[in-house]
Amino acid sequence: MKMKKKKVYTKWIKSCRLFLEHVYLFFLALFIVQEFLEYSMFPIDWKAPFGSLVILNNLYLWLFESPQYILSVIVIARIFLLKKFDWKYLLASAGVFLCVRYAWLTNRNVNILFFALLIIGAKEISFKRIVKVHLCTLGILLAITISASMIGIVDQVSYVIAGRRTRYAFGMTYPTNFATYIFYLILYYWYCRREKILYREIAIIAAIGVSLLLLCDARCTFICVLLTVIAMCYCKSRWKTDMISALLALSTPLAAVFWMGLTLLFDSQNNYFQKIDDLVSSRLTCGKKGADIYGFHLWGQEISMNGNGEGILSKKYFFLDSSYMQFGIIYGIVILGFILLAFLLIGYQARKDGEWVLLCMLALVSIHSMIEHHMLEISNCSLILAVFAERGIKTWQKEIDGEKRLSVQE
Amino acid sequence: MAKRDRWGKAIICTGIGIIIVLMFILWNYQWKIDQEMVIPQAEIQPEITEGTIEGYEEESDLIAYMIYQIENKNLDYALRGCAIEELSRYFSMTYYIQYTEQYPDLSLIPPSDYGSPAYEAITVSRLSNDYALQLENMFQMLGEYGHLDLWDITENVPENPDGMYYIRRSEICEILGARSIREMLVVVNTDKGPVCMEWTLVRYKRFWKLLLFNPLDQYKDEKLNLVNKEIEPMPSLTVNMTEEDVLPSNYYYINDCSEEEPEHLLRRFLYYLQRQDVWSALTYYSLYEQNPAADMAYFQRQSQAALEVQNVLYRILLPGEEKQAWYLRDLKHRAEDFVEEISTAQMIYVDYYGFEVIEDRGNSMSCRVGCGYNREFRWINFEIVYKNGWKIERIGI
Repeated sequence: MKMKKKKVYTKWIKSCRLFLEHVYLFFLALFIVQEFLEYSMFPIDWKAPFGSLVILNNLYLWLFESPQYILSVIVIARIFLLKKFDWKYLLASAGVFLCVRYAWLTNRNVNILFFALLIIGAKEISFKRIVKVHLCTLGILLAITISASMIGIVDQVSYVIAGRRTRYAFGMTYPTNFATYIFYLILYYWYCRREKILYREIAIIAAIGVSLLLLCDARCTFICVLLTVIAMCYCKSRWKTDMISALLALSTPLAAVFWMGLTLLFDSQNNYFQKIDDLVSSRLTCGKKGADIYGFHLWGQEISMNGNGEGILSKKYFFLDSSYMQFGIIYGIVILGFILLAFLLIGYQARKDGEWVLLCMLALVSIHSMIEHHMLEISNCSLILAVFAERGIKTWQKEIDGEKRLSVQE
Repeated sequence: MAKRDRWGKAIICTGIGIIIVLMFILWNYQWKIDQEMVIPQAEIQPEITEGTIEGYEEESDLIAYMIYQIENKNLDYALRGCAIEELSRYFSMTYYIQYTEQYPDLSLIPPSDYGSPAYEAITVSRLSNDYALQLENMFQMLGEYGHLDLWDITENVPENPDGMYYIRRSEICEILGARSIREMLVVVNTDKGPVCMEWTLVRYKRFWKLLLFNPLDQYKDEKLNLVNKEIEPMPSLTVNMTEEDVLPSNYYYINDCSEEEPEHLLRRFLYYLQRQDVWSALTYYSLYEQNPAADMAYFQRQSQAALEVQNVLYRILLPGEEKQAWYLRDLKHRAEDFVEEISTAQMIYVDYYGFEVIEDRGNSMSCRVGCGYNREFRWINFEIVYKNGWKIERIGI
């Protein structure tokens, strides 16, 4: 009788665990959709997206402008239903959450709170599942947006800048936003395929990269896609060394030091620096200006930025394009440290588990984030969720065994 | 396995080391910036006494306080009873423009609508001078009357106030950002007999402050009205105010700073304007010869400097003539957008383009700085002097 009760109880706990996992992934997909649509040209009134339906509008505002409440409920429930109740994980999560919350109260940027909860809540969820959810959601959204822009449902904005080719945004507000989504889609696709990726798929990806350069003039993303192609070929080879894996694992802190150092040392009177700045479309000038005027504070600050988008090249332009500069100035030195530490841990774990694909993804995202500001945008990059999510060969083996059992049963 | 573990440990240690070094570099960068920052308020302030009370919740107490300070010709303490800081924080140019449908440009204090610390500093500087001038007038006028004894305070309300009276009051309160406004008839007994004055008081949160030494409809009059009145003797008005009361200080002495290089001086000046830190920018002005003192010369010079800075900010931030004309055609409905145009939060979009010397006279110089905003280029002209370092005498644009 007792055994029977215990079985029922265990089954119930497993069902709850699975249910909460699905709820987490559902909300992850929802947030991806919402943020993607904000970056798109779909004519949605974000103050009242459901028109005259007040209840739905209020629900929307509560959910997306203060996502920490619903996420906290999901995360706390998941923590208490973890397979292995880990006190260290609980204390670390609580410590990080309190620091992040304090930073949020200072800089009023809810994004860090949102990501902190997502990271804590990803414990014991397969990272591959997270990536699959992201891949499917993003893939469908991009397909709809590109189609809608081609047939005229959504504005197809284009930018004409002297000395550069015409840049198309394919339904997004800015061409580099579109290019970044394609880049991350490629990375997630590669993660799902891993070493099984074929050379013809790699060739298609290279062609996509060239298209991004010709149609969007997204130079950074084009270079990153080219590097992705090289990385894909490298991962299929046998020339893997400890030194390279170590460098890949350290790529995020190294990229941060490199770019922030370059920005802080920038001198507009120096010709070499000026040439680099022209190459990166004045990102060094903006970054240096932000560092001098706003400065770096421990817990961040609220600042106003104005960039280009929606078919308009802004006359008043100040935007911190580099993810690292944004983290340092807006989120603060402490949060920047946490973010870099999280990516370092991902790299360390990936190297330990022999996950070369994840290591390369980490390096590519780190390079891309020197120039672009999408490292902590849920619709683009969910790589940071890998800190506590389940990864590694054991997890893949479980999935492979699961697939084998299914095929045997069939 | 052991080799892999060593690599793993090396990665973690190296990574954490890099992160710590980076955090230290950023902290150090900020520390260097902070070291170069000027200290805006004067470090030696022998005359700035700490306040002993927060404010007065009764109009009679405030008026009694002002009368006492005026009798003692204490400019410092009397200024503290005036609504200097309150107007700097709550004055709404948007409501002013909407209700009056006028935009008086620089003759009006700048807006506090978007919480601009730059405009707060300018308003405090300008109002300190304006109120100091009025108080000097009061000292002179009432000084001839000898001892002042407060007899009576009554609110001056029309006999049959109509709805428009209350609507107008409400609009004025919205413009000033005040909770309430009252015109008070003040009867003071002097050595030459009773005199009557009409002062306008405003309430911000719990406390009353003096807005005008005149009634509202005479707000533009520089002349202060004192009317000799023949009334029956009254006992002194009982108030909660004591002679030891001191209100908190609401004006500032600015420090005296300079730079060794003219270009560095003007770059720092523009840098502080971009940070919306007008107090620090004003330290580069030549405001006084020796130590600061609460006298008219200092307030006038500070006010003039603040006005020049306000002019620079407006000329940079205001849109071109065509768009300005568009705003002026329908101020009532475009007031909010117009005031947003001059919000100093937009100074972050200003770019520095270079420094040029126009005329070098040895100990003084005419020079100019190029700056770009909203795809428009402007020269800001400076007259600078060398007084133990380069300082700004005058700015034009």
